[in-house]
Amino acid sequence: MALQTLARPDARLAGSAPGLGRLVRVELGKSLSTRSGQAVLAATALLAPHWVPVLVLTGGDVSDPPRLLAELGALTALLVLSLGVLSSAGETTHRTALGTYLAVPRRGRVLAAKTLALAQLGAYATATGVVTSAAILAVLGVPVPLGPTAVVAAVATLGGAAFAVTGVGIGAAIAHTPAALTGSYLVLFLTPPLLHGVWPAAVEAVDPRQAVILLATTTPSAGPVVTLLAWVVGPLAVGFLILTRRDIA
Amino acid sequence: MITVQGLTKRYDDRTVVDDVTFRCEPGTVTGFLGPNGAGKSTTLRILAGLAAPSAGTASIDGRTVRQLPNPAAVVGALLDASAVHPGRTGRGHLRLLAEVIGVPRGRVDELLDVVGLTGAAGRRIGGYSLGMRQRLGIAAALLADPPVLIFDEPANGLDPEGIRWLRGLLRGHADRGGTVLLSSHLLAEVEHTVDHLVVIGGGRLVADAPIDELLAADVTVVRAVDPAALATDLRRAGHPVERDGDRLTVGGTPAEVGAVAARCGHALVDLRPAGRDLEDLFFQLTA
Repeated sequence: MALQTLARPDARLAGSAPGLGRLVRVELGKSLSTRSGQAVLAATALLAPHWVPVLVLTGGDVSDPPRLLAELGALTALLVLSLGVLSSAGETTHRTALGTYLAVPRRGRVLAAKTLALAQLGAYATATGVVTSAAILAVLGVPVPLGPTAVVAAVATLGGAAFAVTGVGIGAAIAHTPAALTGSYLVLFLTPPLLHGVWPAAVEAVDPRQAVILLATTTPSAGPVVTLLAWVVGPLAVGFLILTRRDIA
Repeated sequence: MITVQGLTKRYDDRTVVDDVTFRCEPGTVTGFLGPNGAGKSTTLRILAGLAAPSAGTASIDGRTVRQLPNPAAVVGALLDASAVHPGRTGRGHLRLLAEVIGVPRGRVDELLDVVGLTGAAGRRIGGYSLGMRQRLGIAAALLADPPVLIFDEPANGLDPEGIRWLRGLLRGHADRGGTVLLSSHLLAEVEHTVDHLVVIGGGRLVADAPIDELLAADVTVVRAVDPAALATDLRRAGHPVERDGDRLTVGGTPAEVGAVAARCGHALVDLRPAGRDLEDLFFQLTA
């Protein structure tokens, strides 16, 4: 074991900050280089396609395929949120944040890279789920109208990207994977039914899953867009503020 | 050069680093010692840009790590060998880091070979021993050949061959003009490796000096042809003397003892400073 080390920095290397594109590639690599990341991505992408044959073969309601695909897409997008949480909170859970922020101390850049990388993964997983589900429906003899289905696929893909980014923000803010996942899903799954009992009109305004379904199946309106944006921007802003002020242990 | 100036870190009303000031010069290995909870790791984390100081500064060549465009090209840090994802392979971990820094992939395999991990490079880090994780951390710190190295307990888990290799690496780096800041509880290892010592206790600086100066006590060992007569003359000159056979342990520097011996016409067969070892010094400073 022998090594000659330098006494002076490589000026070209020392003066060259890693570009955002490079950091995005690294974040994609991080998410896809572990079994847990691969498993979550595969599970989210394959959930809807597995559910479709079960629904058709057990006589479930498939009379409105675009609506069905929108609901499956929204469900997939919800699961994609966990990819985002794993990407940011996982750094603290596995203590890899130490190496990450040693190499890139400007934490906002790392968060931006995670946001862009996870938006891609979220979009990919959701698009795969919806398109594959539509193909399975067609193969099983359910007529799938191309135009509305394309709209559903596009909206669900954007929804997947948005939910992944929401997960990045929540993970950065809470910095504890189990707590971030449990808290997120408790809020997302319990708030709408609880709210429905006391203030039904508010459900549409706060439920991001409903926002995706509405955008995919009805005439576009500002309400669902605002709801989705709030779910993206809110956690991301809070995550940024906490991440950039927190000491890395 | 590493410069720590008036560094203070408080958590609520608890001060863990209290107005610490020291410098690490190029061409030297500086040992950073202190008992558990003394504030060493906090100081190193502030220096590495992972924690914000409550007061003071910690910089490298006049800039904080956060001000460096590509910090890993200037500072190689090993702060916690276990802070790696257990699900990644050793090679995968280094490749991700190499991409961030901008060094070619070939450098990864070169360093895996250097630290003796080529055979384990494709295995998941979760199956690595502590010593293997230390080697991986050292490889990560060296990826960009940075001039400044900050190592926190790098010898933990290394076998004797690894410790010797690490000593050679750190000394060689300093000999080529690099700056090394080394924190370790292996005092014998530190004693053999460092040029300069910075010791903190209870968050405060308690020593900052060349190791030779700190280890040299004002005590001299002397042997003479007539030890009894020399002991008498030394006592008359005001030096405390302990005699053990023909060996005298005298309070005073070798120059002072030698002057008394010369003035009184004693023939000496041995005259040298009575050194302390680092362990004695450490406990004395941090008690």
